[in-house]
Amino acid sequence: MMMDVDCGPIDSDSLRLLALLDPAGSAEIMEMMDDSFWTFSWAKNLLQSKASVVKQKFADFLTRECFGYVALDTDTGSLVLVYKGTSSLAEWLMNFFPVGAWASPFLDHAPLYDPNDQRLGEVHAGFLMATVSMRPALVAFGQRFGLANPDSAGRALLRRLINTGHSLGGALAGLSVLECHSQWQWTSTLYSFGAPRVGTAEFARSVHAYSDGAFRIAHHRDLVTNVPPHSSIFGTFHHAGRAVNYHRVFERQVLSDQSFVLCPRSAAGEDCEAIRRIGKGTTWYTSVRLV
Amino acid sequence: MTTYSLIVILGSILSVVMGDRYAEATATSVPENTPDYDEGLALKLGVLSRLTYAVEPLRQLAVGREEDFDAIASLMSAPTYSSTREQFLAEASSRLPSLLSVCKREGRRGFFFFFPLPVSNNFCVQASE
Repeated sequence: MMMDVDCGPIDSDSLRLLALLDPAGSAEIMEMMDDSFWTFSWAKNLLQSKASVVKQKFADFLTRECFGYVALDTDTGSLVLVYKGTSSLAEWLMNFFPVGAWASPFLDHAPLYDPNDQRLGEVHAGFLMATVSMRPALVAFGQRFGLANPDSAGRALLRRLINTGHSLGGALAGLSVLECHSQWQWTSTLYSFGAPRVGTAEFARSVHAYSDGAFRIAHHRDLVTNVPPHSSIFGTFHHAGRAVNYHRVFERQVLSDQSFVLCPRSAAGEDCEAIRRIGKGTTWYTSVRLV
Repeated sequence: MTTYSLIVILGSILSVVMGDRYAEATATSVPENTPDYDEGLALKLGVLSRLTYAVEPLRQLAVGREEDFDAIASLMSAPTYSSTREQFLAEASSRLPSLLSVCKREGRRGFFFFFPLPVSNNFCVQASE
């Protein structure tokens, strides 16, 4: 549901909160959850007794939560889509068990296509469901602001479209890059914070192709940025965007100059040697030694 | 919980612990003509991202709490996106006491969890001190 917020004159000289992104697509989600690609077919049989309860809880969750907000900065002509991260226990469970797939945490992929049926890659099923749940709100917002029309006043005002978010919100921001392109034929910017892996390498390449700058700001010991796993055995999830690793930012310390490492354009995603070097030999996560 | 579930969960944990060392590298690159990293913009977006955790205050924004509208407006109209960290923090600290108090509370809350949530939290905390 879009909140009825008057965005005021579009030539305002400051940023305005334009809308909350409340999910409204639970009916559509429920239909998608019935599709066989959400779970391994043999595993689905194990889930039938529990699936309806899980589905209902997920639908309740989707219709209850606010997922972010849209803001306009008229000074710089930037529209900012800000997505919310994980906060409640229910949300954490949904991250790990996207469709009640108790037998296949992490591993549920779902294919993603644009409106022209061009394949954009495969993504984590739970993240995709959250994105689909927000699609009606985004479409309604775009129509209201004329974002799909290159000649609209709103579009003429805007010089940049930015997607951002923390944790789960970062994952949704990555998917939002593709949504912006699909819905409004717009190349947008991505700045994610502590985001998990969202989809396959094919998805990452799609994000790079449809963004005018994709950055993944993280700490290399943040567990969230290491899931779902990137492994030849347990999955093919892959980071999107150039990594910006704030390796000296840790727990209660504050930022310091030169505290980040920016990976080169040629080594986005999983291949940044600079971050590997920082992480080499470190088997500590916060104060816990892992191995 | 099936045996398969346990295998997958343990395997996933192992994959996280082992990191990328044994993962098959898959090259992805970003186009050469894309803009470079803008830390001033990142600071602002980090704060805005963190604010999403304050869902109820956001809902209140939507029903017209003018002072909070002004606070967000101040944040995003701070000098330019390419401003330095110090400029941004100074600007934010002087203009956004109410907004940053929310940000600080939300940021500090993150420290009590197992996950450090380091970057955006630190943006919030440092901007509010």
